[in-house]
Amino acid sequence: MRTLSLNHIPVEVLIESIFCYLAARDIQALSCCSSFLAGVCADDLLWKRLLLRDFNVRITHKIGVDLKSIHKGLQGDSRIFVWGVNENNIFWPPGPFATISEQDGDDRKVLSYPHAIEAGPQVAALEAGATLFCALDIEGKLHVWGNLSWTSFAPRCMGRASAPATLLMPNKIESVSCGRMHIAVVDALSNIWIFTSWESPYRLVCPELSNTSPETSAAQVEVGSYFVAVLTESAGVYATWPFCGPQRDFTLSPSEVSGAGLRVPDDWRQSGTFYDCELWDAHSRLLALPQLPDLPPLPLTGYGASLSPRITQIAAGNDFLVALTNHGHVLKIDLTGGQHANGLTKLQEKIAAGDLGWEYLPLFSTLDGYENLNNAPPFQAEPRSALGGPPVGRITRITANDRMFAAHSTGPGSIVLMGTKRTTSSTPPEFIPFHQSHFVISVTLGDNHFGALTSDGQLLTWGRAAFGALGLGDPHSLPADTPGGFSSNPACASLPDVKVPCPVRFDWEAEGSGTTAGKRQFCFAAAASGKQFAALVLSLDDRSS
Amino acid sequence: MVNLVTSDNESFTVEKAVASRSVLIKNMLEDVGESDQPIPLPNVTASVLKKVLEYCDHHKNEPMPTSEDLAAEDTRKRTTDIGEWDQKFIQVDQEMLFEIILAANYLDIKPLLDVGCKTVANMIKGKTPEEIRKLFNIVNDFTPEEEAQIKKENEWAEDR
Repeated sequence: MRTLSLNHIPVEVLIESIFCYLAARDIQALSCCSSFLAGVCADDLLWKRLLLRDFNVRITHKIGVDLKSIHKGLQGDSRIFVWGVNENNIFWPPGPFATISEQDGDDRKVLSYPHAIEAGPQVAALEAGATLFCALDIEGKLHVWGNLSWTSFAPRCMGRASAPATLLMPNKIESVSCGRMHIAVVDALSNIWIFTSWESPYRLVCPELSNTSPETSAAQVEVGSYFVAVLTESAGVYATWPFCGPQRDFTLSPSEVSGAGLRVPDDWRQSGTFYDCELWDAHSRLLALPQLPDLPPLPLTGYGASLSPRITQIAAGNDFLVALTNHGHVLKIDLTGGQHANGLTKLQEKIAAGDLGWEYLPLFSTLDGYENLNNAPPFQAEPRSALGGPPVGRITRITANDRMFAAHSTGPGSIVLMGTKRTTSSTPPEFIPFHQSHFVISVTLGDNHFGALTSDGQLLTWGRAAFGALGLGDPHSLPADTPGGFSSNPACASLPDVKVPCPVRFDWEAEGSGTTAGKRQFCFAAAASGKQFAALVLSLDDRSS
Repeated sequence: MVNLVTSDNESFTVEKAVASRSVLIKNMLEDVGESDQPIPLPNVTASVLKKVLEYCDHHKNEPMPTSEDLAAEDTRKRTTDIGEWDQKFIQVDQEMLFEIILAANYLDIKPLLDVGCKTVANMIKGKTPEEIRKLFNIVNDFTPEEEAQIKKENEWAEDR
């Protein structure tokens, strides 16, 4: 007679049905029992589930360390770093600012290297708008700081949160998207809430998003300057301009959603650093965006090549939306005018008449043209050997800010292609060169400064070095002609732009203090705002690298 | 009625509603249509099937979990709570507990698999490696060096 034990249970049952109920310390105890259990307990699929359960962290891409290390890092020493110009007192408390004279003759108070802000909530995700930051903590609470200045419609108007404040909502918040004027969050019950002021969110209420089927359930919410775009699970895309124009396309009522609310620690109540949100329902009209046009087959589509193209991701700019298909097609649609009086109706008429549709951007959708990297303008001065391997795969991620968007591939030699709201089907992308092979996993765009997060936990920044927004160090201390430093050419008074992405160091303040000895600084999330940056950095043991 | 034949060649005749708690059997019945042919279950012994059918009979009138229910199931919202009847039902020796899990997995009876797995999870919670080894009769196959290393690597978890 056989004697059954844990090692007779299929691994997928162990992971999906038994171990996922256990606390991390129980998983660790199991790891120490036998080599079989040690192997099962190290599985990334298990830790992916535990990261979502324990820290509200959704891992959507392969990263360069095992997920167990990330779980460990999130339990331990994780810190938020900020840098850039201290505009509207966006940083709290005031950091070690340096004064830098800018081209316009003004002196600006800047943080030119990453400054660790005081211990706050245990943050799992960061997002940035033009003048604000949002941090989602591991319990699904939303912490905000900066300016939310759109005040044309807000029953209660609180513009600025100069210190981080917590928005108290009835349910856990699962994702957040920031725009220039407003932010949108999705809660655990799939409600979409839109904030135009910090304390009075509106729930988007409409039959098209009733959350009763894949056709009516939001898969992704993106915020542009004036609009909110929703990608449904069935790949439909809607847009709405609920707060703009003299004839608003919505009616407002006190929200039907109520909840026990999130627990508020006493010290928050005493410090007053929270907004007990007043909830509203906005019964809104939506614009159904048109179907995809006929799209050419793309090479290297890999898994799913036989499936028809469908939109899997959207990214919102000022008044345009970019979409990515499961095959890697990148498309753009111009939503200009939606915020004006009858704007939604006019756009609807244009769509019906066939005058408005998705524009396919072939030069952003195929990596074919980038095989000969030396021909691309940024590479003319770069030795070929210094670059990564030829780009492979397809475009897998898109992102956008006010006027720009980026499409990038992942994997070795991943590339970043950038365009603007004026990009058309024949506009060549701006191609971002990297000094060496990098697995880029996400890109974030500020007004004129940009960042790419790599799978090995590096944050690379490039673009305009003014305002300290690249975080490469104090330009007064950096040697001349190094990235982020001044030019040795006396005729060039202002900081030169950084063309090739450079790694940001997070150990400026720890130098000499020994606080990071034996630890590896792993940048886990980064968000560029207008002229600032925020990054979430974990300290991982060296052995986890 | 449906006729099920176990690996040790025992026959069980049960109501269709009971047998259909198993998605495997339900699909077989739908594929084959009305038939008197016995359904062979080569991975299940009679003693285990008897127990499994006891569970299916008790729950036969409950709605089957839909694919939406399963898709909506979120790791974060799951608890290891087990209903009162199920708790009593699953009070079996460890060998039978693992047999039930294997049978529920093979027969595709998700709620029963959950009851078995939650029971195992509850047995593991809060125990030391030595206690877990003893509980499940697990042989420590690490070398002393490997054991020292793995202990060192796993010293970090807190209460989470």
